[in-house]
Amino acid sequence: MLRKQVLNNILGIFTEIVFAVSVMAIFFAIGWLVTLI
Amino acid sequence: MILRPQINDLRVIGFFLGKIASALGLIMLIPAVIGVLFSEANPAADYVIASEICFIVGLLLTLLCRGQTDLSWMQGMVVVSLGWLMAALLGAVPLHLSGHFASFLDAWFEAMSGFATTGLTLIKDLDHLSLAHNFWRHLMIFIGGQGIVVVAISLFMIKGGAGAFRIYVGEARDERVLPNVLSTARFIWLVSIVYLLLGTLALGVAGIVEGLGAKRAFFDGVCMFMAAFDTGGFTPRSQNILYYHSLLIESITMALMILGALNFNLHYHLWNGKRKELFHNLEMRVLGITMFVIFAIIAIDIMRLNLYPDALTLFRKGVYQLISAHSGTGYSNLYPRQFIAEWGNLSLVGLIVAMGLGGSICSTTGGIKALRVGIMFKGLVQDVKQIMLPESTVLQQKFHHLKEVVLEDKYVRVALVAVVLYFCVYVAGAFLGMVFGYPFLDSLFESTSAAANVGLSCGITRPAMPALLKVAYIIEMWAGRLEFVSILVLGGFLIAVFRGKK
Repeated sequence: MLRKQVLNNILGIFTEIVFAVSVMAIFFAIGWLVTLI
Repeated sequence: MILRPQINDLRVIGFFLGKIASALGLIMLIPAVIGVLFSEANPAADYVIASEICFIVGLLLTLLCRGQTDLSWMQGMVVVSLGWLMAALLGAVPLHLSGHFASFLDAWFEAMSGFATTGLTLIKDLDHLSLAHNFWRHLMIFIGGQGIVVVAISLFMIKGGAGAFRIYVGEARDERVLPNVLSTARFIWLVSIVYLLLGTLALGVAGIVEGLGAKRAFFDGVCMFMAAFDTGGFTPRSQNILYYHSLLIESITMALMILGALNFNLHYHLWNGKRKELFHNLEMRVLGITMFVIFAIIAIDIMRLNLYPDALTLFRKGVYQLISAHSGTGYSNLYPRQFIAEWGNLSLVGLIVAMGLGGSICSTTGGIKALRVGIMFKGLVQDVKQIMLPESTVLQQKFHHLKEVVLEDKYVRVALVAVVLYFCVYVAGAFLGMVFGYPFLDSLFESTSAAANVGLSCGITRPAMPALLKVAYIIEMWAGRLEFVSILVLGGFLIAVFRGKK
């Protein structure tokens, strides 16, 4: 039970970090597209 | 009819204020230890003195006001509003002793800015500030971000009953993550400590990569983490993030600002396997939409002015300021006057809107908050649909925030009141700035930054600014952080003291 909880927490942290990095990547991509226009 | 507060009300309020003062005294021993560790005798002494003052105030209040320990709603709200004012006053004592502030008012401004996670600063010669004082500036943000009362609850104050819940709500946290306030406080600490370790490690390594010594890199790292994740905005260096000229540090702080803008309840759901919540939550959708719309506005203006011609510079300057503004952090890699001198009015207005909107409720961000914007929009859609449908139709609008919620009028009313109050405070501060001769847009920028607890500055906030404006910004930061309700209750309490019926 505790192991599952810890695993869930680690996956949650991983998801949040991936989310933050994805937001930044999307903004970079949109910025790049804007500079092309 | 308002009833005049009884002596028992004052005793209960005094008792809890005493507990908050004692908790602050205990926390002030941390920078004292930092001072001892880094051989900074005078700063360490400043914190011992300030800590003693806190303990004396705390002991006097708790001993004089000992009695009933549970709080009513009114008492809880008054404790929170007075507690934050008192914490900023006590927190200003060591800052004033540092000699880096022109007056005690400036130190109080700095302390309120720290606790309210704003990040506007009036410090002089930051680059020569001792490590202990610098650490305290950032620790105030960390404590304020968790909530001073949450910290006091966690330390030793109360068992987490109804009284604890009342002061927890008074501290602008509408939602409990877990049924018990104490468990909620513990979860908020868990999230913060886990990210404290990860963020400090990442920023420390980044500092070493950029050429800082290991000691300074990790010191700057822990300070920057506390200010980025708790959406504060102080930095240990006078040029803010611009000092580092580092894409790596900018990227890490950007990620931390995004994480800091998330609802602690969302953290809880994600940490417990409910990862779809990230995309289904109304709050996240609104946050995504507003960020992208404002970015489009800023990008168009920046491209029109040909300010940042390549994608990387646009990302490092444009996106960084946007995320900093929208998350309510206030980190910047521009000089304050660059906003006015270089950026166009359109992008400035975009940043002001981003600052005004803020991040998620039950997070460390300030401002109106995305959920309230979403609820208002849903309410508007419901009204339009109701007009278009036959009169006998009963329409039921739902939204998803952690669970499916039926949209009721009371939710829309509460959201609307908060939006109107924030708007009034933003504009009132802007008018006051104009009274002192600052242009409207500059004044609105600075006022919004203060009231929404952001910390971006266009150059108005500096030691030479008028004292009345400093006081106004202190009030804006205080009221904005507590989201007005507890401040309004304090106002009602004071009126009741003088004009209430016996």
